[in-house]
Amino acid sequence: MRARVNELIVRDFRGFRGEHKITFNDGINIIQGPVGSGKTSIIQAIEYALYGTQLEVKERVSKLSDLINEDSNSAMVKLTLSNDIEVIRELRRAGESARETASITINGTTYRGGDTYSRIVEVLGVDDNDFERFVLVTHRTLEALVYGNVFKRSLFIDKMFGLDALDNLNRSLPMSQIENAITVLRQRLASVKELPEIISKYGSIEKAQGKVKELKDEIEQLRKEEGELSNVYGELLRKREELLRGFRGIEEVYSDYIATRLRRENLEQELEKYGVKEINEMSIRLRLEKIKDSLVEKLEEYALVREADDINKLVITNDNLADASEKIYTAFESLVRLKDKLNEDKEYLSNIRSDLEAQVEALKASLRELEPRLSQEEPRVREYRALVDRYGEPIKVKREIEELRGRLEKISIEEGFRSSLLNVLQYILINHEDRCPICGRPLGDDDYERIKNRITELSKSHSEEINNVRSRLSELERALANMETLLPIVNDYDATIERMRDVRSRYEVVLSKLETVEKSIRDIDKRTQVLTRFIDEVRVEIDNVDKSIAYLRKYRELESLRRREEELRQRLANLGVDTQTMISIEEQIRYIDNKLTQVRTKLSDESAELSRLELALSSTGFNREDPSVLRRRLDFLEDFYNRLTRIRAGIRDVQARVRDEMIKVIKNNVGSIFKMLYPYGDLEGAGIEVIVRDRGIIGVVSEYTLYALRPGGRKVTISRLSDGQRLTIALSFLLSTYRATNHNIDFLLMDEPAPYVDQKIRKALATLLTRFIGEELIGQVIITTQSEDLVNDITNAAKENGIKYKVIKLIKDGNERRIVSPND
Amino acid sequence: MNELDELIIKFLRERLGEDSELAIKLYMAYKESGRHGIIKVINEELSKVGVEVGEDEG
Repeated sequence: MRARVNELIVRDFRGFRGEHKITFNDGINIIQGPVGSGKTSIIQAIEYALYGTQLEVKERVSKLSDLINEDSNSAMVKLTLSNDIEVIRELRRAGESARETASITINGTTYRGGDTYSRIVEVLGVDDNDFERFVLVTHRTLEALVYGNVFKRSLFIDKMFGLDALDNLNRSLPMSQIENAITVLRQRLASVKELPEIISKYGSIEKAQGKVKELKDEIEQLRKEEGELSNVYGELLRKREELLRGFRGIEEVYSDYIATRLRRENLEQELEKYGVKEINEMSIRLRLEKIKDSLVEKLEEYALVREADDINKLVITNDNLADASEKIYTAFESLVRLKDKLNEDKEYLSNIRSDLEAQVEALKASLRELEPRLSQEEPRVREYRALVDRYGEPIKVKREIEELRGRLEKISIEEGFRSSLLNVLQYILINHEDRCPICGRPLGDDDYERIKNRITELSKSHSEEINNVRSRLSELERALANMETLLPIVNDYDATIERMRDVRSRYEVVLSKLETVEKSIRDIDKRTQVLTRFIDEVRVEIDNVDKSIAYLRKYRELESLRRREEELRQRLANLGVDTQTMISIEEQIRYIDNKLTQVRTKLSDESAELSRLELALSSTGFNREDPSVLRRRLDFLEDFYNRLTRIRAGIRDVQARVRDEMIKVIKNNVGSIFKMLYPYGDLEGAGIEVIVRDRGIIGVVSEYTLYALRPGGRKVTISRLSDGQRLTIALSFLLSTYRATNHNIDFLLMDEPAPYVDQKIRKALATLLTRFIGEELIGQVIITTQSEDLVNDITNAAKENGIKYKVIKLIKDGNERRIVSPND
Repeated sequence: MNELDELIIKFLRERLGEDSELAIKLYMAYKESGRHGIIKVINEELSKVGVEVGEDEG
């Protein structure tokens, strides 16, 4: 027998001060009392007795200490179930929290502490989640099932099925936190990407930190040096200004002089760098002439007549060297183009050569294929030729056969006639006939004599001739048959010979073409090589001449600058300026300027290196975290995140499968329980189905539809049913879930299941409860209500149907609560 | 473990292959200790690389 609630004792539990006891009957137990009289506390005491601290873990109470009466430091609950089960839990305050001691006695054996919960789950087959799902029914349960929107109802039914655990599991996975950790790691890795380079450059982080100090010292030193140099530089500028102050109107000449001098010095340095000491037009002109002559010769050799003529007409003088060089280069370029053209031709011919080589290979392959065929056919062809030699061509043999057949036929007829006549004559002779048996003419002795002669004459047979003709005919027929068999082979042989002849001839033609092309390619190669060598040599020479022309131009400019400098120096000297002193100051300024530039460049480089080092080192947080460790951590986290993502998707699929399974299990039960609970004829059943819908941004959701069935099977959704019908469907569904689970509980707790309802629904609920018991769907119902009317409705219905019931009254008197059971 | 748990675990094994062990561990942890249990399991895994998540949302 499954477990029912027999007795509950509470002491200092929530609003109940002191000890109180309630005994419960089988059938319906109604706990009735006004708001705040402790109805829900009674239900919660039963739940707490069964599942203890799980209520706090699952957040059904915020903290266990809230269960202790506010005037007390401890609370106790003792629950006695049928099947000899007794659970006792005691709570003692411990600061803000509470400490629990628990024990369960089953068939006289007591288990304590942590074993209590597991023993209860084992003996009842229902854990705290299941208990909340289908043993404890509140008005929220019923309303959620048959009122409100589909979405809320679906969530609730998922909860009834225990699938909310999967939803909650998915929601509880700390995906954002892991995502954040991944982002932070990625950022850190990105910022330390320079770290390996720094470690390889300086050896280690410590050495890099040493380098930071070194760089800071050097930078400080350089800044000091820069300051000193700047002071000297400023001093020199001031000195120069003072020197020039005495000479009015010379600034322009002085600036010109300094600029000319600077330019002259730069040019001198440049020419010295290239080793140019003395250069003149004559040597360049001679080199150009030489290039021109060799170019004309080569252009003519390669039939570039117009270009050769143009260049030949060119007259080179000391004044048109650059122009002449340009023209020579233009002519030279026509040779370069020719070389490119030759290369193009070679490429074109190479393609043709490849085609011809492919043709040669194909023709060789054909020959290789035809030769064995001929050798295979040759013996048969010889056989045919021998037959022709002996009997003539097949047409002649056929003709002879025809003739022999005609002749054989004629001889055979004659032989028949001869044989018949011989028989007649022998008949006349043997029977001594006096008249001819054929024409009736009388026969005399002479006739007999003639007959005898004639018989002798006719007795000579033609059989030998016939045999000869037959023998010849047979021989010719055999020969003809052989010839006809061999003839296709002979024809093929002749055709093959013809084809081979054709292939050989084509092979020779292609070979000859190939040789011609190869020769052309060799010629082009030779010409290209010669031309390339020439082009390379001339290009170097032209480049050298161009450089010489540029140097000559600079050399001439240098000469001009020297003259101009001397002229300006003279003018300044005439104006009384000591150019030697000025030049000395200018040189010092330049020197200091260069030095400053060097120091500043070094300062800039070292500052940049320092910044880079400091940035990279700061990104490690100086905790010396190896980037490879960070990378490993990142890889692990990314992999783990992907695993969780897969698990989330898997859980959603599993949820859908379990949902289908649950629907399968309870669907029929809903219908049959509905039939038991609903006595009218307008509805004959009920059911539940699930539809998967894509709700856009929300995603794919499963929506449950509870429905009733009209006679004939038409479905009616609950929105079109009356309140009583809805209540019946809701309770049918609840009970079907209750029954679908394999457990050992035979009671249902209903905590204020239908508050604020009208008379019709109250009566419907009262009837339904009596039917639960009457139809033996359940053995015991414990229901709380504040409604006297519901109590009356239930007791009346119970009386009418002969169902056991008990009414337990809760009375609230100030802070005191009492329990009265009138019909105990 | 009740029938529903057994059914869910069976389906998780079928659906998730090598990830199913972690999924089952998470499911049982949730059943036993709610979100706290899940975070404990996750932190056991993450401790391999010295990372920890808190019990705050997300």
